[in-house]
Amino acid sequence: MKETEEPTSLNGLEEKPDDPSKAGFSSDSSSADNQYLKLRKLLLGDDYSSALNRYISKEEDAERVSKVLPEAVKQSAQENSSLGEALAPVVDKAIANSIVENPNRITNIIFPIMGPAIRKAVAYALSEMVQSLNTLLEQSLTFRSLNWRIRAWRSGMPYAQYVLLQTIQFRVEQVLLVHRETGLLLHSVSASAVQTQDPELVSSMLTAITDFVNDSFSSAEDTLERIRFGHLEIHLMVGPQAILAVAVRGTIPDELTEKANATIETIHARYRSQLSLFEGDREPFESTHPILSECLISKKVIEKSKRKPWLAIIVLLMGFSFLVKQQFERYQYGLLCEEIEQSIRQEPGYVVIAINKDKDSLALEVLRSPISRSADSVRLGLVKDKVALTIKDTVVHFGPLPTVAGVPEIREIEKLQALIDKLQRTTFYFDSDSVALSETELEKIPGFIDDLRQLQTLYAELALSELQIMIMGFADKSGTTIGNMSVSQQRAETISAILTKNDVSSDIIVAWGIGHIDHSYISKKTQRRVTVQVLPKLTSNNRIGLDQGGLLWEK
Amino acid sequence: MGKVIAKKVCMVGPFAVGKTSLVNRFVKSIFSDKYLTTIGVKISKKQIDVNDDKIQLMIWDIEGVDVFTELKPSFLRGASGVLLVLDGTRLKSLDVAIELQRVLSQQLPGVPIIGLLNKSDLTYEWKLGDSELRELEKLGITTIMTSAKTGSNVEAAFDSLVNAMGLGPEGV
Repeated sequence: MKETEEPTSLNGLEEKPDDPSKAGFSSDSSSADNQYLKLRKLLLGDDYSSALNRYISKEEDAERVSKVLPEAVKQSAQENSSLGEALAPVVDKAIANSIVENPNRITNIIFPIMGPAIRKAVAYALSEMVQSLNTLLEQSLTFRSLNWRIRAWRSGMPYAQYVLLQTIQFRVEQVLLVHRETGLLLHSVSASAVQTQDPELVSSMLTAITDFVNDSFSSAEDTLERIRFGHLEIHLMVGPQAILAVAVRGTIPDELTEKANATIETIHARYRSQLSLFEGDREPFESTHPILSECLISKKVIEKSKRKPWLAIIVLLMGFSFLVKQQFERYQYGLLCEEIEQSIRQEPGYVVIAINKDKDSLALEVLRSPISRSADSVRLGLVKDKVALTIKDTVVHFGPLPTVAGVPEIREIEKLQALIDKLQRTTFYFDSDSVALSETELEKIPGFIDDLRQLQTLYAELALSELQIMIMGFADKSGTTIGNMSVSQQRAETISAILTKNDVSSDIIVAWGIGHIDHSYISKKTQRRVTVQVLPKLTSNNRIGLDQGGLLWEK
Repeated sequence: MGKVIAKKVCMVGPFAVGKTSLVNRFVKSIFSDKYLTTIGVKISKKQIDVNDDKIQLMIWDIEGVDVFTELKPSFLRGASGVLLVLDGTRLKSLDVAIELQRVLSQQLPGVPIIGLLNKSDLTYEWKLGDSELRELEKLGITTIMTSAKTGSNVEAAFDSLVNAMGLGPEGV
């Protein structure tokens, strides 16, 4: 087709100038000037004058260019950026001139843009400040903050700076690239070892939430920028065709916001056509992986150098050794107590009936026999500094317990004693070489026998053992020893005979001649005498009498 | 190797017609008698295989509408297909559906709409007759009788939507 069209168009071009030239040729034919003019007319045709005008003035040029300029600029911009580069200085200059010439105009133009922009910036800065103030307040009353204050002071750093250093801690957990129109996920990356929800559902939900918020507050221009959920904050960078959602745990630093903004801009620049042509196929967006991964940044609090907590170790060690020492001491004390207890148990005549072991004292209750060592001496023999030893002792008699019919009353015992004294004080005196009692001495007999009978009755009443009376005869110095022995024996027997004669049983009477034993200063009359001694017959029954009477049979 | 193609589809309809139940039946194969009204939107995901490709349906289950609440157009944005759910036992739901169709054709021009006449298990209470169905057909809505309770036609409904979206086995 093309080949056939071209010749026809060529013919057309040749024919067109032919017709007017023929017409011109016929009107002027006289002078050479005319001929020259004719030739020019022949060559250039009717357009001659306009071509000349075109050459001289540039009006038509401008008109022509103005028609093609917008198209040309558009075409050039599509092909490369050289036009933009070339125009940039001119436009700069133009704008500068325009502002210099009429500053009011530019103010009027940018005012509606600047107002909201400034308000937005101020609001953002304020919210940031409130947030950081909150964090600061939260941290100003804790133990950690005190610790930080001290550390900041020691390192010569302002507290605020130190807190910043300690608290800037965050981790980007997930980055989602969402198609704005459909809410479909284009691509997502997540930090390693982070549990994330199904990113496809999350991206749809995020779009739904954004739409919901926009609908609820009916603000078409503004978009939801962040969603905070506990410590997780989702930042939404909304571009015209895609949304970048960055899920961050912790406090979000400015650098991350900047990074995310740059990322969404880059994605828009690189994937403009893919974004507008998106039909559900995610494959073209796989290549956004490296760009999105760059947003997966995290910053941890600088790990404290792992110093050994010496102070804590020392305190623990001290506590531990104190415990060990105490346990050891208690063990030793236990051993000591046992030792003391054993030696008391082995002490002859001691029976331990109760032991009271305390933290630092040992109290024993013992029964001991009368013949055993006293508790004090035992204690002194044993006592160690560490044990406060007390022994409470009770003296008891061991063996079968006596059965007692009755216990004599004190008064009767006194009466008994008085009778015995009276009898023992009775002395019978004899004349020299005589073994018979004189008339005056015989008068003592009835009273004596009377007393003796009373004593016998009392003995029977008190159920004491049988009474015995020892009658002892004495002689003076004159005469031989054998003679004296004989005389004294006879004198005792005289009294014994008198007693027997007066119905005193001879069984209880012991008559015994002693001879001469007195000193020379005693008068001879006194030396010739007979005395009486009342003897108790010792039996077990009497022993009880002794203990309970306390004085009766002491020796 | 086939591609994975993600598509946004919307469930719209009057309230209490069984949109959420249909989604639950389709996605999780469960049915509950309990009625829980959806507030806002609930999004579920279901992948279906068509030929070699995998179609990932992001199902936006949008809250039911009635005379007091309007369909939020922002939830519809970017949808590739719509399931307009009706209650076959409630004649009134037809009026709401017609109104909805008008909104849909404005918001989503050219996007296929499949009408689901749900609760087909309740045969004795069925109210929608042929004349009503013809009315819907006039609006360009193909209808399918479904039951979220028995599961009848639920998969088929989603399949036909995918077909209508030009992604079905015949479309490729």
